[in-house]
Amino acid sequence: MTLLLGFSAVNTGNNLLFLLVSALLAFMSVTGYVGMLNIKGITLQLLPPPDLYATVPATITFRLTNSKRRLPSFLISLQSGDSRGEALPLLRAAASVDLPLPLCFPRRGEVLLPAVRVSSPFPVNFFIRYWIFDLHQQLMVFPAPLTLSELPGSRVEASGAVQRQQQQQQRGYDGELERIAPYSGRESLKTIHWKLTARGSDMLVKQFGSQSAPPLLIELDHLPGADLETRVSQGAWLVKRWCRERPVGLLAGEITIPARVGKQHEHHLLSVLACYGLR
Amino acid sequence: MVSVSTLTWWLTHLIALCGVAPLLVWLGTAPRLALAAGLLASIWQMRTSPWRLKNWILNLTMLPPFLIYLAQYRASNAVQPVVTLLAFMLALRLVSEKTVRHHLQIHVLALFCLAASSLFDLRPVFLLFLGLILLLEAPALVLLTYHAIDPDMQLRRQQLRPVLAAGIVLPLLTLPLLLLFFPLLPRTQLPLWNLVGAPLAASTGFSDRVEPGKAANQGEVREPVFRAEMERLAPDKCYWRVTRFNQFDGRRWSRSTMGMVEPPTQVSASPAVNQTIYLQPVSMPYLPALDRPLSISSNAVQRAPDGVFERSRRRGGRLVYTALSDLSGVTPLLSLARRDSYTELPAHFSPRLKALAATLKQQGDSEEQLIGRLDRYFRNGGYRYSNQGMPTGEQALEQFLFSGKQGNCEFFASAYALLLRSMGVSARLVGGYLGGEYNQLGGYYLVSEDRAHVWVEAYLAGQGWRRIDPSMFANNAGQLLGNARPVSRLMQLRLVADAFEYYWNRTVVNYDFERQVEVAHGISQRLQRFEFTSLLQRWRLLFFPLLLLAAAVVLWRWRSLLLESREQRLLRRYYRRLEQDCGLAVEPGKQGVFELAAASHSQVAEEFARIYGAAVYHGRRLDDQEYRQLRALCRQPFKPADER
Repeated sequence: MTLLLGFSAVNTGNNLLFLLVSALLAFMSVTGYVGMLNIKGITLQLLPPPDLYATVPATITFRLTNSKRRLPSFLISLQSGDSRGEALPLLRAAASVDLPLPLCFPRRGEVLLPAVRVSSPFPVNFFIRYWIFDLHQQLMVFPAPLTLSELPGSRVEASGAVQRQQQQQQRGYDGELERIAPYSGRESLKTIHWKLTARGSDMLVKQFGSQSAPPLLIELDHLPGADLETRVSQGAWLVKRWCRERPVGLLAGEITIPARVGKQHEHHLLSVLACYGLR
Repeated sequence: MVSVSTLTWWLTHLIALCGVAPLLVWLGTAPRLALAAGLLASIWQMRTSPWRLKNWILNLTMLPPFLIYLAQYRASNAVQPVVTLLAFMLALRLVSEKTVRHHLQIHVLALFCLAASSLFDLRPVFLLFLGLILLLEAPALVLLTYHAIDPDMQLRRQQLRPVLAAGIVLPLLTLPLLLLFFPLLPRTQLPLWNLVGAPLAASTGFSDRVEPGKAANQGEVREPVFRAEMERLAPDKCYWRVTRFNQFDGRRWSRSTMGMVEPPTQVSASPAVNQTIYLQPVSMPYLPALDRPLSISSNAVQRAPDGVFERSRRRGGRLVYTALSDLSGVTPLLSLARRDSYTELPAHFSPRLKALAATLKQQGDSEEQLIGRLDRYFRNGGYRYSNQGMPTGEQALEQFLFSGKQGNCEFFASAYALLLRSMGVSARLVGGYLGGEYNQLGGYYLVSEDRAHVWVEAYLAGQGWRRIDPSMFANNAGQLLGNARPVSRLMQLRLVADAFEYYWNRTVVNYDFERQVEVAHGISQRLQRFEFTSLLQRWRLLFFPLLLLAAAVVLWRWRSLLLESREQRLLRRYYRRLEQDCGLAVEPGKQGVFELAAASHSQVAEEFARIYGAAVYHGRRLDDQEYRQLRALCRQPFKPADER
């Protein structure tokens, strides 16, 4: 439009058209500068990411900070590869906002966080100004979990019923009260049922079930998957499924990790699996 | 919450109105009705629900007007059909659905309509609409950007305020750049399409003939003809010469240059007056200048043998030129060639006029004496100057002289010149303008069409042509010079408005390639002549304050390099407090803020570390509130005195 009007202005010598063309050129220059100013002073910080699994979409949250002291920023959005987050209508001066960005990593292992593009079409959507942030942050991408329904020949109990039966056969102190039995001399004094003992002549004790399940040792090479990736994925599923409920150990090649329970151990196992077999 | 789509709807329609408003007066009834219908349909859709109209059907409705106005297209009438089609297209877009693309199309069409209005009218009202469109366009485009991301977006009032503020700041930033770009954009020496002004805007003109008795009344047209930038002159010096009339056929005076040879120019003793004339687009082919113009500096002018300055090209368009004039009222000329042609009378010349001339003439009278006698006759004759109730018909001059005694300048000048010719004195008429409104604000004369005037030039042997204005012998001659016109408040306002239009024409409308070259040449010459020492001497009083101001600005701009930032200042105070109140040996740069806070076992220090770390360790500077909080923490002891 500006070119057409400029052509008309030059050919007619009409100064009012020149005025209009000057206004349009000036407006375009100003919008370019304002667009640049809009994304200037924006910093990006990666917040602790959730557990990331290969090929599974996850939402990573970034903290966007506008370090300009007086000027707000408008319509800021994040993009990494094909993945694009929602645009933020307004980021006030000297303020921070957490913005989620859906990301999906194709492979397991320790990967570098891809470059994130902070962009904005502000002010007039003629051009999109952007700023590329390379945060140089390593992320641990766990193997994609592959559900394992049957494990022939393995030492893993996958059936819930078997689990419960096994739990009932073992005595312990953290399960439910299962029966009252005569004191044999081996039981702890705190298990003596004083009330019932007082009524009769024999010492009686309370016998509890045990909640602690037997340890699960994942022998990676014995898992049913056809190739290493499948077996690693199955191993990851097993870790994810059981590590909070029972001790889980890992035997993968020369790596031996004793069985433990808990979230921290789960992360350790998944990290080992994530890097297993990678050069 | 405010809907972005509603706001963009309003802004787009206001832009459409601003674009089309200056064009409306130049449009026919059909496009006007189409625009009104389009606007009403759009409002109706806004209040109810959008019509589900297919785009191709709407576009098809443009076909009949397109064919009709295409058929009207001529090289001589190129603008009107195109502008009409623009109006129809805008009306159509108003009816259609409003996606972002359609909004933008309305904006573009509105801008084209505004641009098209400049082909009809160059008045400063254009600036008003351009300013309004720029003011509306910026927030509209900003909101359309939001609309493009999410058409259903709603903004809270707190969010909307900075968005609109940004939209208002944009045109304000645009203004200085506009002023920079306008004079720099390249112009051509001659435009290829001369569409502007001439046939459309030229409504006034100067008659090639003087015909007393043609009409009984003469209407006053106050259209400006030209503005002349110069010092104010005495009223009797303000004769603007345009053309000469040397032939009278019994009814009308006309100009003939047949067989005329330009006489050698005689140098006048009186000082010359310079004037810059801004000629409006009028249809006359001559260039007015103060009587008697010695030279006119313009490429578009040529001097005829009778001394009349004629336009050589771009007839009808605007023109700016500088004229140099001699105000003595005499054109020095030692001898007159073809003297007979200036005493020539028509074959059937009025016997009564002849008789009157004979009674006035006495044997042996010099030309000077004859003129003096004729002056006295007119002065004592009881003649009255008037544009109303003038005699008409073939005997109009006789009626004016002997019975009616009322007429305009044409009657006075014609009768006077013919009587002079009858007495054997060479005489001719000069057509031009008398006086003008002097605008103190702009320092120029505004000469309008109603100032058109005719006077006489008589040739005196040995002297040359002398200007005689017989209209000044009328009883009410003061009215003619503008003495009787009181300057009312309305007139003052009109002069202020005219001064604005004058500056507009001067700086914007008349800015062309020549002026551009002139400005560039002026700047280059100034740069060549530039000497720093002379500048220093001239501005010595201002130089040092300016230098100090510049130094202060530089210091302020780079203060972060020279001075500590407020974060650094706070950190220093934090370390001092830790050393004084908690007895820690702080090694700046080796220990972190949190580490020191933990070692100090002070809640105040921990609070300091929390606020400081939340900002600085996340890559941003402290905002004002945080800064105030940290300063307050540093003022209080980190530990009570008894715990130290």
